[in-house]
Amino acid sequence: MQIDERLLIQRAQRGDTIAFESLMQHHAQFVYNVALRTLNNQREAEDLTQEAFVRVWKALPKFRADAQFRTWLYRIVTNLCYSRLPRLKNDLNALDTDDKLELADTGQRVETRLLNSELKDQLSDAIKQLPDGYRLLITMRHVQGMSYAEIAKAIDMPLGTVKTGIFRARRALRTALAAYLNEL
Amino acid sequence: MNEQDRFDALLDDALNELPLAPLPPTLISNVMAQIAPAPAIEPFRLRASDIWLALTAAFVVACMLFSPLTFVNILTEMSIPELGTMTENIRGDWLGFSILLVLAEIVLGIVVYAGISFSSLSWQGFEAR
Repeated sequence: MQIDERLLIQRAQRGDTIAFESLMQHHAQFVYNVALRTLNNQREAEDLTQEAFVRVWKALPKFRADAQFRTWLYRIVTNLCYSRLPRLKNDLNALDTDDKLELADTGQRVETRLLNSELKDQLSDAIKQLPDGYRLLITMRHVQGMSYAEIAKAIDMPLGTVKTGIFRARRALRTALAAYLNEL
Repeated sequence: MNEQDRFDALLDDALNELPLAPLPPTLISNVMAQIAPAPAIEPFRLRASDIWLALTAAFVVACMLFSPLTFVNILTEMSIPELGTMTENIRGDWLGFSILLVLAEIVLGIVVYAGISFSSLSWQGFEAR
């Protein structure tokens, strides 16, 4: 957690709405995108994002300074996703942990390549076709850049479940994009 | 780099570069409106100017109510014989009616003041919760 963010949290905990607005400015777009990708509905994603931040504001006095704000925020977001998509938690729970799965948690790749917009469009469409649980996991991992451990804490699931879910989501995306990627 | 790794690398890049959907323009202001503290209502307190204003208003109303009596007195002093007992009756009835009206006004003032004070206290209690 950055020092600035910690200060903003402390001020917001004392009721400073300006500090809370700054915090929100920093996180809102990511929260909205996680909600949008998970719910696949713009209006519901907007509602969920608003509700999440109102809940954060109300619960902020109870937030412990030593905890990760981002993980705590996404826990609230995930709980709201669970309440809107009743099958989501069951689907994630149903992911059996694959012990042989060894995924290196290397974080985001530093180098980027110029990818054409067609691939991005194909990928966006392929993500929309994924089951709800996979969409949530893949968005947290790649859009928000969260570590597996952080995602596990946020969605309140075992680490193995998160790794399995992301592995299968990527496999599903690879299958969906196979024809296109082969051409590259 | 084998085929699988190439796929993974491309997929990683594509996922990491996925554009973020823009935030709806009213989202933050909507949240701020929901968390903004409710406007504090100043509790009603009786001030000296309120008392003076009420007394002046009462005096003006009393003057208006008693002016017909003055008119009756003038008629009596002019000794118009036709008025005779009629003026006496009017004076008696009007005096009673005027006193009753002034009393009613005072009671009404007390009720209104008590009502405003009570609602202010209730609001303060609500705010404290």
